[in-house]
Amino acid sequence: MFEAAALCSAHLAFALLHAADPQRRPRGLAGLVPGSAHLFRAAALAALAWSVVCWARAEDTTAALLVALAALCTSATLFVLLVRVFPRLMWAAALACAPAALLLPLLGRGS
Amino acid sequence: MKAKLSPRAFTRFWDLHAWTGVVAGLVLYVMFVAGAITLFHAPLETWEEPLTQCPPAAETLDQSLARVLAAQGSTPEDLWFYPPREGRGEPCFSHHDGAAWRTACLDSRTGHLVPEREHLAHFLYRLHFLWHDLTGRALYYVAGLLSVGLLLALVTGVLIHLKDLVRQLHRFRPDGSRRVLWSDMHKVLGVMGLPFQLMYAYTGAFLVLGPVVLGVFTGPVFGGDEKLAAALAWGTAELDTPAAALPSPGLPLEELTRRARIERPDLEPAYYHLLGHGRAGAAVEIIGLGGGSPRPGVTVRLRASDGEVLRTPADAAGPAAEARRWLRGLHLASFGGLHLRFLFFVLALAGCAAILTGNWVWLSRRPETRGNNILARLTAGVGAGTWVATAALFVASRALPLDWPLRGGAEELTFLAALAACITWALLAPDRRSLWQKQLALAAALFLPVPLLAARVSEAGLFGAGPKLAPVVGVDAGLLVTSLALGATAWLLHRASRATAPLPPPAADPADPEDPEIALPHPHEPSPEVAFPHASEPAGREVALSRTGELASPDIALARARKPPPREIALAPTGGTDV
Repeated sequence: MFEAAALCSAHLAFALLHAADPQRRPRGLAGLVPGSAHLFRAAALAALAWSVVCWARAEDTTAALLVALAALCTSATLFVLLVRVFPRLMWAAALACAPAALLLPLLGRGS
Repeated sequence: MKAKLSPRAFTRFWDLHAWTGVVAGLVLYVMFVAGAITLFHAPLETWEEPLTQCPPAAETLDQSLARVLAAQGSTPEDLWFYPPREGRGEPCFSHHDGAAWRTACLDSRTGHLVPEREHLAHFLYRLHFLWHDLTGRALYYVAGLLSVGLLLALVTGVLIHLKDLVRQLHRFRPDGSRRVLWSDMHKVLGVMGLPFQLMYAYTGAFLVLGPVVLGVFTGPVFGGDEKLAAALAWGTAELDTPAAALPSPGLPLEELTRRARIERPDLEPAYYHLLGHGRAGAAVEIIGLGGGSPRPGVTVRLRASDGEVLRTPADAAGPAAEARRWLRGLHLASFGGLHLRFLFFVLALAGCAAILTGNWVWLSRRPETRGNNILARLTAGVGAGTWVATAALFVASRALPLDWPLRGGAEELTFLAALAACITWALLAPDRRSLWQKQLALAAALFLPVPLLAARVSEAGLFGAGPKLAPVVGVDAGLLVTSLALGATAWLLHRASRATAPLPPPAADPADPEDPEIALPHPHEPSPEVAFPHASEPAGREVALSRTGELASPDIALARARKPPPREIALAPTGGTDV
């Protein structure tokens, strides 16, 4: 569960980074307040940090950092190549990653 | 801060990047595909050999070893013993009989040894670094040099895109022209996969060529002592086989393992190397993985008679040996579990796609010459043919009789023959546009029945009648997913080719003012004013082409008036190589 949460969080991190540029955001979010780019980048950083924290529960910090980097690279590749082709699917998946990244560790702790 | 290269450096790096990619790319592609599959080497080994799937006998390690040696009929001086792992399988062993390595597993039902009969996983593993017993080290060193070539292509790729590297992270325009599509894909795949590709290129080159470099220093630094050099540099050591001596039973393997764990508490034993087993002076090497990330390979050497740990120069090995273990662990993905292997699998496929798109960028920028025509056909033949050959290998693995002595060689020949046939097909086909879809469809069709054929050999798979085993079911499911993915890709290509036929001539995209594919139409006709807008021009000046190929920047138009137009900016109706 912690591993899955870490992967979801890494995916969310790249989606947020992608959305930092208003032109790349999905319709409806493009007109957010000026300066929101910094908020998106900060949120992306937080999501990536959460990914490392989650994986560190399963393995040591070195592995967590390496896996988070690999997950970020994979998410980034898939996201950039697919978001123009399947925008709704990709943004919906990124959105679903937010609660998943928070809830899966709770489930993991319970099991 | 934006780093810029001089036009001269830009051209040099561009040429180096392109030529390295074109020359080394297709072999690297095959290595990447084999490496991606090899990430699942352990499940594949379980899937392919039914003897690794049965529940283990309730016995000690020594009892397993005794049964194996009884079936063998002799005790080799130097033998490797592989007990059942992960709670299943028969005990196996291997030794060198003076002519070749022999590996066999015990079949508990018959009490006989079954020689290694399945080569699929091992063949793909060795294909990853171009090793075959017939070719020896020659191709292996070529693999190391290709890794250096990949490293060179990556570094030069970064240098030529240094100015706009961050922009490449997010830019992909599927609705652009074909050239823009390949170019964007190549950059996205290259930039996003850069850490992964750099890591694999560096560690691959290091693992293959490191010993060669060490050999150069063995004379002057280590006085020609190769063993000492290997021990201190890599942390590896070889124990000498004890001289012939009287029989003397050693401590049980369980007890030796316990003592090894006192020496290395993080040791997780995988197999045992026994020297002079059952005689005075016998030694045992317990080999496995240690703790940490990536998990290093660990060897603890003990005297069999009393369990004393035997010290070797390797124990004094310093940071170099640790670094090698770390790099090796990184290359073998010995951390992160199955999740990381799936991530690396996707990144490896992305690396394959980066190589192919690189070739397509090359082809779309160049006129249709004989050489480019061959390259386009080779790209299709190797690109799709590798999947056809892999699928044929899987079919052969499950269709050939399991106990046929020649099946290993037949599997390898099947792979090579299928790949050669696909390349020949690509070189001779009258219509090159449909090559990809036809070959990918063939690969999909070949992969599809493999899980069903596998049920003939093993009952533990997706369609087997017996108790399921996760690795076997996982491989079956993976084969079905691969078949569906290849079939879907073939169908999408077919649909796209119908929608776009006849193909338009390659056109530059006006929305891509700084695209080097537009800006640098022909590397051998450098026209600094035209060719290197972002390398040589002041910031803020844009170079763009209209749909009809007219130069939009007045300065560039002026430059064009002074010089003959480069071939591809002129948008000749027949220009560019169809890929």
